[in-house]
Amino acid sequence: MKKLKYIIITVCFIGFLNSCSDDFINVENKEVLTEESFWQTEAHAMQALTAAYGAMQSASGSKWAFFEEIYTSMAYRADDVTNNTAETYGRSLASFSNTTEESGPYNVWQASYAGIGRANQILQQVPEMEALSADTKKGLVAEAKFLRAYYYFWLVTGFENVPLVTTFSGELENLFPSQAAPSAVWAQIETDLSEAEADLPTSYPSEWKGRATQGAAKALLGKVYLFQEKWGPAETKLEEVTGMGYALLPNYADNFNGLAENGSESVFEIQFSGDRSNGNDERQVFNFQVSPYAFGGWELFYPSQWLVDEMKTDLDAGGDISNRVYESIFFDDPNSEMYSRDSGQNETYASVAADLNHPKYFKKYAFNADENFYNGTNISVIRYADVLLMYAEALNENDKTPLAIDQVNIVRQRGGAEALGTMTKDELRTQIRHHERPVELAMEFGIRWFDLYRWQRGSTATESIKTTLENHNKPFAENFQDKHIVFPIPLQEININTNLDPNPGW
Amino acid sequence: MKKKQSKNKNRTLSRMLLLLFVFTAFGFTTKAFSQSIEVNGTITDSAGIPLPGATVTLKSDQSIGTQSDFEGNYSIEVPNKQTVLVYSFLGFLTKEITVRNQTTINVSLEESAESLDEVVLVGYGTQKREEVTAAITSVNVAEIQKIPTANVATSLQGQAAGVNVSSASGAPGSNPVIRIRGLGTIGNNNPLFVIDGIPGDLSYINPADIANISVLKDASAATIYGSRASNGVVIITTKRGKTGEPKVTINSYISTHSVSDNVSVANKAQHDQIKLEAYNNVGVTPAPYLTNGAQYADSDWVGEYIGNAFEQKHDIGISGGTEKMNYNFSAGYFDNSGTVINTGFDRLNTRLNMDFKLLNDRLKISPGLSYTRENTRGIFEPIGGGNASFSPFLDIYSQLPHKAIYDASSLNGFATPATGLGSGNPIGEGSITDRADQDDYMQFNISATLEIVEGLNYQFQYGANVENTHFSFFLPTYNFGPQSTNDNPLLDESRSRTNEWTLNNTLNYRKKFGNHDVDVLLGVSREKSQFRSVGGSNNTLASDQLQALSAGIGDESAYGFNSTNTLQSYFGRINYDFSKKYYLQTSVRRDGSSRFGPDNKYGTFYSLSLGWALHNEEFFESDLFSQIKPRFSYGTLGNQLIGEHLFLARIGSGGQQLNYPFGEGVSQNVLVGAIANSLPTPDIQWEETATTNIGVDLGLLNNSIKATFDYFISKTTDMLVSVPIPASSGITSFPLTNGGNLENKGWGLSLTYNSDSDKDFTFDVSANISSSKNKVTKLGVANESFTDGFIEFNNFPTTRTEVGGEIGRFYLFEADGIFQTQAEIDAHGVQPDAVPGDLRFTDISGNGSLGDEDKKYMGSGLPDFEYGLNFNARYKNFDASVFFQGTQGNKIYNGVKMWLYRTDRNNMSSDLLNAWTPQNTGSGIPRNAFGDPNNNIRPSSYFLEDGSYLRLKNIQIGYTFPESVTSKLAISNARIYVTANNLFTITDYSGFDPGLANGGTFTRGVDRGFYPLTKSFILGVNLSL
Repeated sequence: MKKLKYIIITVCFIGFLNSCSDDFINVENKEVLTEESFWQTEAHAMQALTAAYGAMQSASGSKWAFFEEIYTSMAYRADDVTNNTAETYGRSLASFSNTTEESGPYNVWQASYAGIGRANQILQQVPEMEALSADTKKGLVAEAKFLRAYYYFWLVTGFENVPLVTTFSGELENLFPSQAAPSAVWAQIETDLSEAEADLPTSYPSEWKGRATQGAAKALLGKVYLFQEKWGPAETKLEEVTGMGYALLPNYADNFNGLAENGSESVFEIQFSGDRSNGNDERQVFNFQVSPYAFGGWELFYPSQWLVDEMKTDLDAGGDISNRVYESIFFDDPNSEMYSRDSGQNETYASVAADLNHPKYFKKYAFNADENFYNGTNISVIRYADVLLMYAEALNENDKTPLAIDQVNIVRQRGGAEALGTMTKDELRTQIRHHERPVELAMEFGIRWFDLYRWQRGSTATESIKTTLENHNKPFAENFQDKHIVFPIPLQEININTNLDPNPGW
Repeated sequence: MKKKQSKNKNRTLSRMLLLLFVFTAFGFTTKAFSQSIEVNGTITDSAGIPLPGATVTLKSDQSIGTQSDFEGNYSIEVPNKQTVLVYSFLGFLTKEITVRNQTTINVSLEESAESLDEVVLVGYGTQKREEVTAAITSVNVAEIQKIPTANVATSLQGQAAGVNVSSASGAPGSNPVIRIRGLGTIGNNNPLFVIDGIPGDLSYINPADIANISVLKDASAATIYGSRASNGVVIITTKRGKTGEPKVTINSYISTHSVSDNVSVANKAQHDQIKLEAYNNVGVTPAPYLTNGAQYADSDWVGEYIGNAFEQKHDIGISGGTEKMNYNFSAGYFDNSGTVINTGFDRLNTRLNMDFKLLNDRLKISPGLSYTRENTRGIFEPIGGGNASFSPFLDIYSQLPHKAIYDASSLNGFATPATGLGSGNPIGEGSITDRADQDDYMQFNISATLEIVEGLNYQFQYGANVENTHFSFFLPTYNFGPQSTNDNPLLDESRSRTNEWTLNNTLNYRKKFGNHDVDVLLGVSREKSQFRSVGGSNNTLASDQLQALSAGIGDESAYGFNSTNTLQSYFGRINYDFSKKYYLQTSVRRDGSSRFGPDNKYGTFYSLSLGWALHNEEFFESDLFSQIKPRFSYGTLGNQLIGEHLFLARIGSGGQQLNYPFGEGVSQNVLVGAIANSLPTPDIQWEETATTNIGVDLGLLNNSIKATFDYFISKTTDMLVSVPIPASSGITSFPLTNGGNLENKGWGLSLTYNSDSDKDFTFDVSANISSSKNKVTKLGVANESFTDGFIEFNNFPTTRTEVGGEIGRFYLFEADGIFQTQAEIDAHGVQPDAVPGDLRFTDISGNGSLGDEDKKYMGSGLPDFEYGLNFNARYKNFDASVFFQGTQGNKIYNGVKMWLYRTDRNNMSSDLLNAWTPQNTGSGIPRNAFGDPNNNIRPSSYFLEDGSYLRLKNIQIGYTFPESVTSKLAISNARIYVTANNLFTITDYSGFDPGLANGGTFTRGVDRGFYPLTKSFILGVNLSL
């Protein structure tokens, strides 16, 4: 029996000795970065800022989500673009038959708020960081404010009635905001941009090109004033930009071929890169989307017939079609050429016409400057030509029409178009709305639809969007109702946040 | 019986040992009767394999008896010719035989999975079937081992009530989805698998190695596994040796697999006809290839992609032992060549289980070792929820027949599409891509059981599972057109290692005090799982022949993960019964998990169950009923199947989501971004499920008919789910926390009938049917609902989950026929872009427009009930079995059809030849219209189909060679069989297979085009030496 006792003691010893301490179930985290270890160094702050920029390429960072969801949502309702109906991306937005569950607007919503959330984290954390100098903090805070303003600009012009979130909260209960008045959102954008403008540098060293500059803040603020028809402040702000050393590129096409990225005409661009090291995927895919099937492209969308017809009236002094038109579209014209992904060189329209699936194509961004398969050409958000045209608009509305014509002519002449002669205020307004901006800025990211949107809502409106669309033979324009002026508040979001109201009519 | 001549010496020795055995260990007494008769014989199982250690006793006095020796032989003296002998052996039906004039009585005992004296696996031990008060199903292992398959889970389909096994995909080596009693949570629904006492991965286990399977379905059975048991527990033991001479078993089969391709896509001429009609109908100029296409090919992409497969499986087992040492060794090989190009799966298994008895049999030490290697050549399939990826099958279906597949003049033999036909050659890409998984799985178990005093046992159990995986993906250079080009050979390789160990220490005390039988279990357990992985890639290898990362000269990347989780548990159980009439069981388990924050580490789970063996009452008299046992149980269970460190405030970093380039030039540097993109959930705690189970076990006509019925209600609270939060939070991943409640109700019934086993013709029938229905009662912070079941990237959602309804219900527009006239369209008034021939959608809300408010719920992918029916018969040397299995009332959204009814993609269904035209107004298929202006393909009831089916899962005919033949060949048993799997399926579903598409919780029944299940014909042999 004595032996048995020992056995029992041993058993209990083995069995229970191991199993009584909670240390065993406190497992050290070896895998993920946490709040405690982050927000310590300047490198951390820069990483956070990088992430805040990253949301411009969609909330998930998927470049497909950017080009096929965000871009198409913003572009397809406008009169300069006709979508290829074989593709479903944005198809029902383009035919004004979308439901509130349409994924494109939801992607715009998600990306904007992802960016705002990241900017808000920077605005909360960076001022508390001990390792940073006061100057560094000021610059980072200014950039975060610029980004927050830009994302709210997407939201307020896309959806109008959106929640105004200016702090980052981890408490689940605080994550169900109601919508703010659009005026409050506009006010926040103006405040953020004004504060950012004061603290942003005018330029960055070469390795940091692409970050928001003072010029970008001023130009965006000028645009924000235009959207609110604040003609005076708009003129002032945009005039300031003209004094900052920006210049139009001598060659119009260099804006879209990657040869002058972040160059003299660039005010703000979304950066893309062909760098594939370490699994990176920051590519730009416009080159596939605008190119014909025959060139190895996907032809997601085309220039509208109205745009092509309008462009054909953009003439040089000799009465020929201007250079900027030839650099913008590929169309049935003896002088029209386009870069082919397949052959790696320019092809004339006549030589490939028989293989083309469609009579007309955009050629902006079609060139792939990268040798490898990922194209890294940046896309423009605001370029100096846009600034000049916006400045011209503000001048014209402030009854400075001749000065406004001068600005328009700077843009026209660079593009190879003959200078405009004298015009009345109303004539110039129409010229800018239905020729200068759509011809110069055709298909560029976030431009045409939002121009139509602002022009038809203000005191200077001459016609409704529906009328414009019908006059310009937009397919399915007959389906257009007032509710289509804004995106629906995404059903996906309303399902989750019952504090949100649908947009009127949706 | 076998090899008698050469074994005489051994036999004498074994007899002597046996005598010793009988006299010392088992305490039977032999008694000399005055006019005694000596009866001799051999006891075998139904296959003729000798049963050593089977008991023979006198019915009149069961203390008098003997045991069979190593070769199944016995000898007993009986008092007279009227003596009734009782033959019994664990796991076999007991048999009684009257001696009469016989002096040699050879007895064959029938194996029985559901016999009353059957031993049932329960947590940390076994129970007799009659003692069980919980909802536990013992699977008839003999039955499932008849189904030739490499996967244990596959063979469980339809075999047990309440165990739902379905396929996500038919790919070789893919794992089926196992759900016990339906969906218990929105989160992880996988049951816990316990293999020889140690939690492990069932998919690596060779079905041939399995000895017993129990499925613990209710809380009372599973509480002892507390923490991970809320989705049910499947307990498995592997085969161990039995005392006797080495017994060799060989099981082999070969089979051919074919796919019944019932999705018909257009050929070139049909394609042109449909497409031209589609263009003409909307007044768009047709694409050039349709009109100038004489020079193009007419390829059968599907036919070239899918073919017949060959499958083979060979298992060998050697088992035996002495009374102090038993062993069971097995080795197996399985190979399936895959029905899709460049796919396949093979596996090597080996396992050695041993048992040593020491200290006068008071100490038993049982080591077990196993090793499995699997090679998988697979394809990527979009299984699960969230954004739909594109299935390779949809890609194949939609290839233009105009594109050539092969080109003898190209370097790799595959064709680049001709100009104007787009790009891509998925057969070329699939063939030259080298995508291979090689996984090793090792189990090292040891258990030691010590009898401290009579009735008191201590058990030590340690098990280590090591899983090493290697994945390699090699893409040589090719050019199949834009975006289908690979300029440089690319290699991506990764390895991972999971080390898991479990340490259990249990004390068990069982004692009978008069009519009181008490069984107490106490235990502690610790588990740890460590995962580490490393991987790298290089996007330019120097040539297509090199497949080593160090041969890379391009951009490289490296990645790796490192996580650990632990679990620490204390548990106890008391079983009590009073004179085999009243049963009570109660258990408790307290678990601490590393996955929860400091304040929430521990969860405590408990259960109580009661049973009443009515048939054992003195007052119970019935010729009809031989058993009536009502049961009741209630208990709680936990779930902690979530990731690590969710309670910490994590910072996400890197990847395309957060990175962003800065600098000059088109290929400027990409900077790493980092920010909080998830929310910490510091208060996250155990999910808990409380289950009430009411059941009854019935036996009729001397237990030849047996029935088990269970009804259950379970309530899951604090479900661990990803709570949908508004995107306005800035957070891009839903935080996983205790975000919902769910109710689940259901029932299961199983019936078996065994004919009298004495006849030449015997048969048995077993059937089971079960049903469960879930309802979400709370979801998220504010009862948010959310959508899933996307058919395309982020688009065309088909399911919705919200409070008050089932998980993942179909939520769709209602298609209401086809417009025949413009007048009908005008009268309908809500579809401005429709023309005659388009689908009419109901304006359910009646608000005069068609929007999301017009969608409605239309059932789910979960069946109303499912069933299995097994029939086995034996006539002399022939045996046959038939196994049917089916589901009823589940819906399938036919995403494949939706894709192939589009004329704006590449190829389409040949059904569209019969689309509506003004001349063909009776067609149920909407008109062909390029660009689909009416959005006929919107998610609607048009593509929702009834997924009910009845399938002849398995039919088998076997022949066992008579002893006269086998004895000449020096083999003890030989059987050959032919089998057909999935011979036919009765269903209204028009897609590939109604048995697929069950991968995701929220996407159940959404058919996005999966690897098809196959029909197979099998020829097999079972041999015992």
